[in-house]
Amino acid sequence: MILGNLSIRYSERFYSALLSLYPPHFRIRFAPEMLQLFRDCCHDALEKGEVAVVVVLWLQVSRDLFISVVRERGRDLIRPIGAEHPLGGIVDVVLIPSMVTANLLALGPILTLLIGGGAIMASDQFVLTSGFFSFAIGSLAVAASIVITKLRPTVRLWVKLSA
Amino acid sequence: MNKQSKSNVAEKPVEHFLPLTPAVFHILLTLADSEAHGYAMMQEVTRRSGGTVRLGPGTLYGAISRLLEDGIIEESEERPDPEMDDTRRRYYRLTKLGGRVLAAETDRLADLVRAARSTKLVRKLKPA
Repeated sequence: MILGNLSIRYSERFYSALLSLYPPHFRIRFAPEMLQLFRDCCHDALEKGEVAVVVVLWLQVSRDLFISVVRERGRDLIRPIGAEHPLGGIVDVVLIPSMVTANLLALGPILTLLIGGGAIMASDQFVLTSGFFSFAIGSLAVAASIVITKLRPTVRLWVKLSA
Repeated sequence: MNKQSKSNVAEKPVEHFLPLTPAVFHILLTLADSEAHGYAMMQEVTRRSGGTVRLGPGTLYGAISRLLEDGIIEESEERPDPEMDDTRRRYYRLTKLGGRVLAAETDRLADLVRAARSTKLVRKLKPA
């Protein structure tokens, strides 16, 4: 029984740590209830048998955790940007088009000139090359902006927890 | 759940939420007669399905999260028995929309079963 109680204690700690894999808004809302549910399941398992039953429970919970983390992360990615923070949404809406427009106007041609090393290019070749660079940098800017937006709640939570 | 999302949900027809997944249908069935917390839902679903549907914490609360967002269930402030119960637990209950969704899904499944039973093959293979 002592072994059983120990296994429950460490199982709870480990499960609590694993809950950090969920997106922040989901974790903040449901992690205490999920931990309580897991605790209840552990006690149920111990009533039915010894530590082996807790191991079987862990196998089931691991599968459930993997599937649900992937699902919730997926949902979090397709959630409208700035849905929870309107100000953040405005920044994203203004920031992304601004970055794309700015680099279309300036960065593409500048990069073409730099890579070309001052060599003389035909005008159509110059437009094509600078267009390619503009598109590549624009795509990177959009991707970076989305990643930053998605990481913002995690960073905020991390700052709050570490304060 | 804020008021704005609730009003958006109210505009959606019941058919928008159909068909329900087996897990969600079982959760709504559990909440049909009384409110319940997560652990009670989990046990009831396992019991009702004869062990064929087992909800883990992630699946259960993922479904609860979506149902709350859609306005199909809501958190209940009342406690069936505050002295006997852990105050950390949260109870959930069906909303009116949730009741309509459950009834519509039940009708849809009943129609499906009726259609299946009317086929010769199913009548022929019907277990004794």
